[in-house]
Parts: sequence; structure tokens; C-alpha cells
Amino acid sequence: MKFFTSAYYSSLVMANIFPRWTNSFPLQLVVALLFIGGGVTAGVTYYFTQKYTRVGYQPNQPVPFSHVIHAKQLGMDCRYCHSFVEQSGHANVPTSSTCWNCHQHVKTNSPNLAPIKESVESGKPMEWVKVHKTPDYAYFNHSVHVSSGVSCVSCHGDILEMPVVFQHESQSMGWCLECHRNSEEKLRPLDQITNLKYKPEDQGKTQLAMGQKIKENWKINPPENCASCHR
Amino acid sequence: MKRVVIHPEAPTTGKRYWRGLSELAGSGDFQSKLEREFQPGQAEMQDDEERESSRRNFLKLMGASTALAGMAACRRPEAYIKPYAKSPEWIIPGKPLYYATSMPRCGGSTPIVVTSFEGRPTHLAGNPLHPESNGSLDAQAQASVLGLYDPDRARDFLQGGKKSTKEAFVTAFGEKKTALGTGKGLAILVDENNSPTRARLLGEVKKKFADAKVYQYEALAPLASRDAAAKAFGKGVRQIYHLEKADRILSLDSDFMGLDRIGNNATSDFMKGRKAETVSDPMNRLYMVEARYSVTGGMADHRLRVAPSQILKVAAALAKGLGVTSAAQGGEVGNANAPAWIEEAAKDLLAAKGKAVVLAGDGQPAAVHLLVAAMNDALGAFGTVIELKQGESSDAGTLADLAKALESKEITTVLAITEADPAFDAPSDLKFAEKLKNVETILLSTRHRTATARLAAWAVPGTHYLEQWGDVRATDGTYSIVQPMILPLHGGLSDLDILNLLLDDTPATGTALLAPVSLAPAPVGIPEDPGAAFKAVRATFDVLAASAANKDDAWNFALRDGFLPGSAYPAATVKFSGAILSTLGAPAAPVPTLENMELHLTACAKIHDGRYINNGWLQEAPDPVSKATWDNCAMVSVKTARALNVDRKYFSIADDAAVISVTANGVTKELPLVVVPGQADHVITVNLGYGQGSGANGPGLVGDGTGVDVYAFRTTAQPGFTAAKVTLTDKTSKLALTQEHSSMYGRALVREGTTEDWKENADFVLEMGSDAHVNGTREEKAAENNYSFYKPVGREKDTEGNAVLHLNDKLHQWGMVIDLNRCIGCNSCLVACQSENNIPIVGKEQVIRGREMHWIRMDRYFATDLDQDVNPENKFMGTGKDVWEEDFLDEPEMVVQPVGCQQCESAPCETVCPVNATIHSPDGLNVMVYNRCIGTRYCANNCPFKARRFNFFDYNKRNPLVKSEKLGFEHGNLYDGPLGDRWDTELSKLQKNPNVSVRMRGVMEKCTYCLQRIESSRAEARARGRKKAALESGTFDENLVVTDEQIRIKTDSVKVACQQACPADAIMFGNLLDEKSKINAWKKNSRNYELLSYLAIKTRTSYLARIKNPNPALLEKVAYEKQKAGNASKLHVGHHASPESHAH
Repeated sequence: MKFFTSAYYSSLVMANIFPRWTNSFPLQLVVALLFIGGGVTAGVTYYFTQKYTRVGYQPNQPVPFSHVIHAKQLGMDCRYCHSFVEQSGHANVPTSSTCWNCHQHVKTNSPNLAPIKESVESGKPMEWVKVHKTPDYAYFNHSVHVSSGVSCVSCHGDILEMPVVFQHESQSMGWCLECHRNSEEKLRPLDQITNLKYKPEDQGKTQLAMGQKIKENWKINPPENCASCHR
Repeated sequence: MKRVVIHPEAPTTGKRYWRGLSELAGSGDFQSKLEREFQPGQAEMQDDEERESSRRNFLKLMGASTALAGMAACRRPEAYIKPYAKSPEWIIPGKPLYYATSMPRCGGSTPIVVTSFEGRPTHLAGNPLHPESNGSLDAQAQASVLGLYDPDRARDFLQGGKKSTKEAFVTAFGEKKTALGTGKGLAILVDENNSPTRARLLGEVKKKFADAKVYQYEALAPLASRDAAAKAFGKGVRQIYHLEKADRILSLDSDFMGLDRIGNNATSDFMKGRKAETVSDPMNRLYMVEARYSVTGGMADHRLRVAPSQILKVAAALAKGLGVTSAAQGGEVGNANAPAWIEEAAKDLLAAKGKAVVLAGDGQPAAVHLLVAAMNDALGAFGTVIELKQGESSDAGTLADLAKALESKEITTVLAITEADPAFDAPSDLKFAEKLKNVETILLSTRHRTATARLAAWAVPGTHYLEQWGDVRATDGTYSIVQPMILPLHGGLSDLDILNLLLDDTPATGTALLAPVSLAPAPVGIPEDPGAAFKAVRATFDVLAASAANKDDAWNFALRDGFLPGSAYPAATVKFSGAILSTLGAPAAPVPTLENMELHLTACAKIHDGRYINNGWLQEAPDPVSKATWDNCAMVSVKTARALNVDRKYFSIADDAAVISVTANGVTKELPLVVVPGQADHVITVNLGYGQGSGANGPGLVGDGTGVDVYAFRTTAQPGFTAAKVTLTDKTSKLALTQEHSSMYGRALVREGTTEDWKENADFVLEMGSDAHVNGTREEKAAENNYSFYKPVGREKDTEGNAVLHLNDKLHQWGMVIDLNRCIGCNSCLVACQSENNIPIVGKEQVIRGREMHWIRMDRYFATDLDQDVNPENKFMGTGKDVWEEDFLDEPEMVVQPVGCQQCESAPCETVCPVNATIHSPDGLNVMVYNRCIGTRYCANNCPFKARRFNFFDYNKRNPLVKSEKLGFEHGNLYDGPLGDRWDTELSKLQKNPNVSVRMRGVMEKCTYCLQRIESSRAEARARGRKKAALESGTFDENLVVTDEQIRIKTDSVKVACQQACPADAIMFGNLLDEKSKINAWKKNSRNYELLSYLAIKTRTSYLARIKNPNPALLEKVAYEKQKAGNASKLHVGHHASPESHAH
């Protein structure tokens, strides 16, 4: 019976449809949207641009080594210094003593070469700044690429024109897969791998026709499954 | 469309396989573990404390991550490439090098091939070139690489426990040397090392210090068998077993495939007689007499369980049966089956004269070993199965001799060059630790957190065998050089170094004492001054290789191959003389009873005599039989546990164990109890080596506070077993047993039959379990299970837009076969997998929750006859009897089965992953992509094999073994999340395999078939193949034609880590598309079957059923064997199920 007391009726009349907290709700919504919007904008500006993928990253090196002088003007082969690129997953950076093979005769006392000299004498390794960085969970193998018709230039750009090396390609996973899906666009004869200036047109060939043929004859079947790089 | 799989009914006759008693009883605890992918507590918070800490952590984390959010915009830090200043020879950055060396073991050695990445040893394998190795490696040797990086290893020179320097030690040692004069009062205590150079240097020392004494000691050295061999054949005579030549083997308490090391090849030699490739292949037969189930016992065709003290009586009765006359007395052994069993076994052995052998365990007294020698003589085993070789005999004293000398104050200085810890593990009657306190001890050991080191005046850090020059002989005498893989991580001296110091009067310059040796052109990585130890070894080598035309060449070849050919001990020209047998008349011990129990002390399959207590891989590997991790426990039979009035809930092993109090030889200790079927009644078996203390007086982080010390029960007279009084306490103790973790429903996961079954029906394995429900031939059955709800094509499209076929690799399709006829369950594969794949340890607390990370789970099943199940529903209910009251439980058979990811072709895990983090590769691997995984754990929930492991915490980075107080109360360090203590130091990182990702928190992982090995072989095959084709044809452009064969991985060149490590050669891995690969022969074996084939998941891993070779006469005569005989006819179960029960 108590439902029909006056207090009950008055409570019905006085009841608010919306609880009190809704008063500030529009303001909260706007603030939240501002934050989310800001976050999304900041995220896109950073992560969707080349800055994130580090294209153009050009750190200072302890010794101003120039590929232009060594590889272009002097015509040294890439594999003189990056000697294990055909055998190992890593394309090794030369040891200090490799530099000293020549520099013990040439420009031995150049101040620019002082760190190398010191390293050779003390046995302490040089600290070259890493330009291209693969994440820990991705395993890239140089040897299988250079033995399958992929040139250095495809991933590193035209190093011959770089006085200071910078990152030329994004080297993101999408970029890798693009080539793995259309490898005919990059494949070239095995004796032209380290010839960064190679153009198939010079030999009267077209890249696509040649690439397609290489793909078929050499049984090139670039893997697209996760396990080939992630393990 | 939802596919409904109708699970076949479990068979109601035949054998029942169970892992724990609660599984057999179908108790609630087990059921809940069975029905869930993650056992209770594994995937959720368990207690309020945890919930509270987790909530607080969450808030802290949120705060921290908000604060750090702004940091995300910072650039990635600069990384450096540090090339060598000068290129070391042979090293190609990114490619491992393999070096042969040898691990010194008690009385022998284990040949090893070390995988070294840029100078870091990361993984060990056996050396298949070595005459005493099939290329496998046991778990302890496998795990020794972790010991190299143990942070609690000896690192500093300690003087009276205080940090000192090497220079100070060398000075003090020099003064000591002068003070010693002729060596009066000097005792040199060495461990059981078989190093010729050490022996030679000790000889030199004795010349220089004429009054010095040499003693040799290791807690678990096989003194009794050595003593018996000396009596029976003469000093230094070694028995080399060739088990591959034996048709009948009887073992008296010798776990020759496990703890009683008779040589590296014992298991593989034994398995040569068990190949069972075809029905007509001959099979050997193994009889086992033992007290507790051992891995060898698990392989036995017939097993007799008796107390260790009763083995002597069994040996006497058996000897009698074999026609050997001795004074030894037989008698009642406490097993009613024994007389008939022994009689039939003896007959069977005699029938195979010349091809039969008897072995005795290291824990048995010399009398048993003598009887066994007599039996082997009667069986014509010498010259056939057993080769007698004349080894060196040492005139070193025993520890008892040293104790006596200490007592009489003859000794003032003890130079202990030993990995043993005599102050801890010496027999209790010697009171060795107390005596050691009265003298000046100089200890050289790689372990400094030991009782002996704490007593030592000087504790010198020893080098690990991977850091030092040395040499060692294998059991058969084959000489190996121990070569360093890395410079000593913490400085330190090797055993040869300190002996050289003792000999050399000018230690600073090194080597005046030794005659100059012509050094070979320095092999790889040898420092310019290779040091005294190197020169000492080289001098020994030059003597041993005296006949070599060019010693430098011989040296280099020995270094490369890991051994010196033809260096085995010469054959001994001795004959067994039976005269000694008349002295064996001493009465044997009475049969143990409830009032007078027997305490059986054995080596530990994991930490051996305690020296590996700080090795996390070994600590966390489940014991092969009890499945205990991180602790030792008292194992008793079901009957004994009943007699002790143990609460029945502790029978079905949960994580709580009842605690018993054991009193023997005046010592009382409390031990957690585990009921293990197959144990002899009234015998308590406990593993030695645990209980080395905790905190500052403990062995270090990993071994801190683990287990109970039972060395205190051990005496010189009775090292293996002793009478004991046992009472039950009302305490309980936490044990981390993995026994019922990841349990699967019965369904004939392990299958076995007898030689008779196999002869009768070559395809008998397909008449079992779910396969029995399909009629027809093997092919028809396969076709029946060949339906799939997977489309043969995936979402991938080729360049023309056509869908790409699933499994489209035409060159490689990988598969694995595991032969249950050879698998003994020794854990080698499990530890090898851990080492190869960077699998972390998780600690006791986490193991209790079922979160261990091992990719291979070693399932150990006991098998009993289903007809023994009292109730028609096989539940033991309604009879008023509990399963625990059944006596037949104590006579089970044991079968083991390693289970990892089965690499299903139609993998159930793949369909449920919301982010495609587990997918299929074209060559048939079910791959796990860590960087995609978001940790939903759906895949694990859908895995019918429970083979997936989840990183509940960042085990690789955060130390799971310590407690933290950071939140104001004590809790596990892991719960501190990013604030917790880290243990991924530079030191621990050195061991990691650089070709495998180190997984982080929140990521699922599982067996990958050693993907990194496949991928590097594939890369190499392609790179080399194409280049070779180009060079051979002279064509480098598009006209070069490369064939499939040129870029295919060479037949069986990829070996997965578990396969490589397996001592029994039980694992075969290979390319199913390569006709020459051995895998195809294995898959064609009629014993081949797949797990849960009715699910049509098409597993790539399959198993070969186990074949037992029982003695028909024994089956007939011995009561409990009869029931096993009955099983054979009951294999054909559930044959004609109705066709509706199959899903299509």
C-alpha cells in the first residue's frame, strides 16, 4: 500500500530523467574527442611519413668515409670491403685492418684516418653508426639475395653517389614484399650484382622481359610467408 | 558450417595409460586440468595477494605509460656496428663455427661439438666422428653451456671469503710452496677426472714434493664396481660394453641408459637391437631388477621390483640359475614373483649364451659386481659383449684415507682441485667438513658457493671446460683434447694451471719445467703465448702420438676431429678368476618392512651429485619419472603410502605433497612425498645433491633453497641404501610437478604392442584408439581421415590472380617421426630445444601454475590392464573401493612420449587466430609470428595437443626466481612488471642463439621444427646452388638454367636440435619430398601412426608404436605378468563402430 503514499507521487514528479553527471558530459565528450583527434593526427604525422621509416637518415660517421672516392672513382668492388656478403646473412663492415691494407701506404697520417689508425694499433673496434636497421625479429639474409640476382642498388640506392651514406629506401615490410611479389622488376644477371650503374637497356634488353626469364630459369620464387624472415 | 567431431569412445578392454593417479581415478582435480587448455591458476589470478598486487601494478603502469607517452616521438637511439679491428681467421660475422672438444666426466668424457657465434659458445652437440659417440648429447652435458654463463660461478680469488687478487694468490701460493719443502703435510685432492696430462703433472708433483699425498674423490664415483673389477681382473681393468652385440640383457639396478654411465654409447648401442624396421627384425630383450622406476626400467620387457638391499639375493639366485657357484646367499626378497621370474630369466639368458650380458648398478656393493662378473663369465660375455681393456690405475687414496690422515694431523694443507664439494657431499661418518676446518684448504673450483669454498683459506676461481686447455680419455680410453672456446670470462685458473704453478718456480713467465715442445703453426684463436696448460697438454700429446709421422699434423687433426685415432686402451689379457666368489658369504640385509624401511639414495638425473644445482635448465627439466622440478622428493609405492596412512588426496598429485620424516644413521630429515607406482614396497628413493642452503650460504640464485640434503644419510659403508624409520608428519610441502600438466584425453595417444601382436597383424597400431573405428587397409583408413574443412587454396594470389595452393613448395615438405620403441624419456631433447631456441626458465612458482615454457613436453605414462579396473565404467566407483586401494597399481608398465607441436597440415590453431599470427608456410610448417601475436591465446585453446606455450610474463627479461618488496609486501618479482628486477645481463645474453627471436611477455610460442636451421640451410642451398650452376656453365645471365635439384637442401642435412641430441636416435626429421631421405622409410614403417588422426588435422609429426619383446615363458609363469599377456589379444577394440560416428 505504501506505493500510493504522497511521498511516492512526489518522487515521481520530481525525478530527473538524466542523472546529474550528464550535466558535464558534453564538455567531457569534446575534451575527449580533442585528445583522441590530437593523438590520431600526431600519430599519422609521425608514423605515416618517411621520417618514421628513416628514409634519408644520414648519421655522422667517426671517419668521413666516401663511397664516391672508393667505389666510384677508384672502382673498388663492393665485396672488397663487404667481403662476406655472398656467404653470410650479414654484409660485414670491413675490419680496421682491411682499411689499413691500403692506407698503411696511402694517407697514413691523415687526421681523418686517425681513428682507424688508433683502432689498428690498439685492437679496439671502430664504432660505425648503423644506417640500416632491421628489427630484432626480422632476419634478412644478404647471401641469398645477392646470389639470386638482387643488386646492392635495389635496397641501398646508388651508393656510388653517396659521399656520406644515407638510407635510400624505407626498408619496411611492405617495401620488402613489393619486391618479393614483383621480383622481375629488380632481377639482373649474376655478374652485374655489384655493378650499381647497370642498365639492361645497354645490352638491348628490357628489365621486365629479362627479369621474367631470370625468374623462370633460375627458379626464383621469392617467399611471401612470415617464416622466411620472422622466427 | 560448424563441423561436429564425434570423439570415439574410449576402449573398455586392453591397457589403460595414465600419467598420474588422479587421472586414473578420474578425480575432479584432474578433470578440470584435462578439460581446460590452461589449468586452473595458469591463466588467471589466483589469490587476493596477486590480485591486489596486479591492480596496483596496473595503476602504476598506467601512470608510467602516460608519462612516457611523449617519449615515443623520440628518435630511435643510435646503434653501432663494431667490426673486428683485425679479422680473426675463419670467423664470418653471422655464421657459426663448430669446434670439437670434450667434456670431462667422472671416469670418462663426453665428446662435444660446440656451436660458436663470433666466439660465443651457444649450443652443444655430440661429436659423431668420435668412436664413443653417435653424435648425441645427454641433458647434463647439453646444459653445461649454461653453466659457463652462470652468474654465481666462481669469479673472484677469495682469501678467507674476502675478495683478493690473482697476484696476491700467486704470491701467497709461492710462499706456501717454499714453506712446504718436501711436501710434508700437503694433501692434493682431485676429482674423478680422466685427464692424462693431469695424471702426468700429478706424477711430477709427487717427484718434486716427495712427501705429498694425492687423494681422489667424487661423491658418486663407481667405487664398488671399480673395486670389484680390481679384485676380479686386476687393477685398472675396464669393462667396455657393446650392448649392440647382446640379445639378452639383464640389469641388476643398473640404470645404464640414465644415471649409471657406462659410456656415451650405451643407449644407442642398446637401441641398435631395437630398430624394429620390419616385423622380421631381431629384437633384444631387457630384464630389469630395480627398486624405483628408472628410464632403463621403462624400456624393460620384464621388470622385477625389489629393494636395493635385496639385489644381492637376486644376484645370488640368478648366479645359481646360471650355474655359477658362489658363497652368496639367496632368499626371500620381498616379491612373491621373484623365484619364478629369476628362474625363467636365467633360462632365457643361458639360451642366448655368448649374446647375453648382466649389468650391475653403481649403487650396488662390490659383492653384486663380483657375482655379475662371474655370471658374465658363465654367459660367455667377455670377449663378445664386454671388452676388457687395460686402463691406467691410480694409486690415489680415497676420501676416507684423507679423513684418516686429517684426523691424525698428518696433513696441514689441502689443495683441492675438484668440482666436488666434499664438505657437503662426503659420507656423514667421515665428518669431513669438521676436519677440514682444522687445516688450510686451497680450493680450485668453478663453484665457489659451496660448503667447501666457505671453509677454504683460499678459493681460486676455476675455469669452465669450455674456457681451458686440457685433455681427457673417454671410457674406452680414446684420447680427446679439451680446447678453449672462449677466454676465461672471469679470469681464473684451470686444474693444469695450478699444478703448473705448483711445479714451476717462475710462475710469472710460465713454463720452465716442461721440456720445450715444437708448437704447431698456431691453430685458430690460440693466443700468441698459449700458456703453460697448452704446452703441458701438447707435451702429453706428443708422447701419446709417438707413432705419428708428423706430430703437428696429428695434433691439428686431433683438434679438428675431437679425438686421437687409435688411442683407446689396449685389450686386457686377463681372465675372470672365480676364487673370490667364495668370500661372498656375508648374510644379506633383511627384506624392508613398514617398521624398517629402506632409504635408497641415487644420483639425480638433473643435477647429478649436486654440481648442477645452479643450472636453471636442468632444475626446471622434469625428473624423468617423478616429474618433479626444482626439488627432490621421497618416492614411495602406492602400497607403502597406504601403509603410512598418507591422506589419499596426496596420492593424486596436486601441488601439495605430504611430508614424511625419515630417520637413518642418526639423522632425521623431513621430505615431501610423491607416490610413484612401480616403486618397490617399503623403499623410499630420494635424489642426492639438493639442499645446499639458501641466501648467503646457498649455492646461488637458481639453486637457492631447492630440495632437501640427503647426503647426511650417506655413510662410507652404505652409500647407496640404508635402513630407515619413516613416520608421516602432518605438514605439507609445495612441489612443482609437471606430471599432469597439459593432459590429454586417452584415445590411444601412445600405442604399443608385443612382437607377437606385430607378427600377427603388421598394422596393429591402426587397430587401436580412434583408428580402430575405421575399417579397411592403412590406405583406406588414411583416406577416411583425409577430409578437411580447409580449402586447398589460401587467400594469397599469384601474379595472374590465381589462388595459391596451400603447401605449394615442390622441393621441401618437412616431417618428423618419433620412435617410441627407442625413446627412453631422458630429457636430452627437451634441454637441447631449450638451448637452441632461447627458451626461458620460469621458476618453481610459475611451474606450479603450469606455465613452464618447454616446447617439448615429455609425457610419462603408466600402463595397467583395463580389466583390473573394478567398475564397468572404469571409474573405480560404486565398488566401495578407491583406486588407491588397488595393489595392481604398483606393477605398471611405463611408456614415455615426447609431444611438441605436431605441425598439423590443417592446424586448428590457425583458424582461430584473429590476427593471423599463426599461419602455414608453403613447406608445411605451422609457423608462429611473434611480432604479430597479441596474446589472445585462442590458438592454445584450440590446440588438441596442448603444445603451445604462452609467455605470461617477460621470463627472458625479468627474474622469476626472486621475491620483491617493492609494493610494500612480499610478492614475486614478476608481478612488478617493468619495475621488476632484470636478469638479462650481458653475461646471460652471451648464450642466446642469435638466429632465434627472444620472445617477450604476451606472446605465444611453440615448436618450430627449428625453423632457423631450415631457413639457413635453405638460403645456403639456394645461394650456393645458383652460384655453382652459373660457375659451372659459365652463364651468368637469364639464359642460365637452374634445376630443382641444384637448389634443394641436401638430403637429411638439416637436423633439428632434439634429433641431434637424442641418445637413442629416436627422432627422425627430414624432407618428405626427398625420396632418399630417411624420414620416408620411417613413415613407411608399419608401426607408424598419427595422434588424433580422426580429427583430420593431418599431423606432420607421427609416432612409431612401441614394441615389447616379452619372454613367453615368463608371461605364463609369473602371476602379474599373466595379465600383460592377456592384453595382446585385447588390442582389437571398438572395431566395428557404427558409420554415423564419423564426421565427414
